Amino acid sequence: MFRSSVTEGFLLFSRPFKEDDTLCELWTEKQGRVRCRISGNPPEPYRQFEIKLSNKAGLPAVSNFRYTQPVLIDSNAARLLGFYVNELLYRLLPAGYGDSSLFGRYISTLLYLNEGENIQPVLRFFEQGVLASLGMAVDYQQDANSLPVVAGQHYRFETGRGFVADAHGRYSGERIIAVNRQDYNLKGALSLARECQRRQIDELLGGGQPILSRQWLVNLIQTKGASEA
Amino acid sequence: MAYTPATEELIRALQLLPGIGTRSATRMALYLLERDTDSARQLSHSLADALEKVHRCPSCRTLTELPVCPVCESTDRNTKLVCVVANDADRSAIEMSNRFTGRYFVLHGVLSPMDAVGPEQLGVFDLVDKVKAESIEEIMFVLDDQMESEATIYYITEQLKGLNVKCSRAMVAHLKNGSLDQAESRHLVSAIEHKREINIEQK
Repeated sequence: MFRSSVTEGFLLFSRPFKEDDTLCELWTEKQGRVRCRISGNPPEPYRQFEIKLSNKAGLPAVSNFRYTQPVLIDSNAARLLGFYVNELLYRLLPAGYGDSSLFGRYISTLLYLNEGENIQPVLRFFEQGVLASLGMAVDYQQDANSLPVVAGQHYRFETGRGFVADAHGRYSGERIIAVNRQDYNLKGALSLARECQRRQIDELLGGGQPILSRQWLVNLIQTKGASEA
Repeated sequence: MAYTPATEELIRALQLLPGIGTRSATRMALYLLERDTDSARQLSHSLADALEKVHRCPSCRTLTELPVCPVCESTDRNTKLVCVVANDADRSAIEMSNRFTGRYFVLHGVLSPMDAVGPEQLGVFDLVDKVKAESIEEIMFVLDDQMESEATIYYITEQLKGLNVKCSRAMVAHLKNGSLDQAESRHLVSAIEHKREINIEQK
């Protein structure tokens, strides 16, 4: 457990606490997910800040707060997508588990989401980062027996194990290799990544409540599709 | 176990309240049981009474003790204009400003996946059905400018796309702690009078 540390961070979510304070869940570079009490208004979401966290009984004390970057998301659609990214961190990562690499990936994911293009590959990229941080990344390079994935072969996916060669499997080796190269132009590659990573995430949730914001996004995409059709 | 089973249960129950942790809950429980049992009985009675009588208006989700809330029941209100608010306190603040003549729809929160509050909990699809069934012409959002509120407005306006309903937003200035119930009437009136239309395609 840390004693006192200055770290970069983002706000994951906040709720009012007592009369004038805010209970904040932060995503920090060094300490990972940290819950703390902040006097007054919470930090701006999707905006990087520097903060000093000092360990004490109960919630860590917060001081020396200052923003270090401009806000990374300024569109409403990206804000909603950011909910999904934040929920993944909140639901999957244990508190106090810092991962600088994932922190960097979080920043680049927000930047890409704000551009509003190629949303699906960006979300898959972040999911895979979270899974990798927990040692549960989907291996698109090798099958469950540590053999290289073969383009001409078919595979089935087993959560926790990976791809298993199976003549009747629904995933072609060609698509798995495409996902490994992050080449989503091949038809079916994106849905393969979505399905497998979703199953892996659900496995980590252990049968608990699914990622809530995922369903909202599906509904929203369907609504947008219907209204634009 | 440090306390009796019933005391432990009370401490656990008090922690269901927002912002109440173990220590506060213990302090409250012991205060009620050791020092002020009359207040404890009154609290218990008031809670049971409120739970028995108060429910959400089936039309606008406002908390009411009547089958339908007085605003929805009234024939003097503009039925084509609906004000969407986050909670009953905000609704009450707008009503006290005496400037809004339409009806309300109370979300009872804003989108917040970490609190397990999604569109179903907010009644978003009930609102969409209401717009369709009652040919509502304008939805006016009076929510704060927090990120969750912005995302909620975006989500709802996306659901309302193609329904021929105008969406507008009243931004209240000088909010204390983001609560409308602490806003001065003149600021609320100004916000309602200067509401701006939401361009659904806008960023």
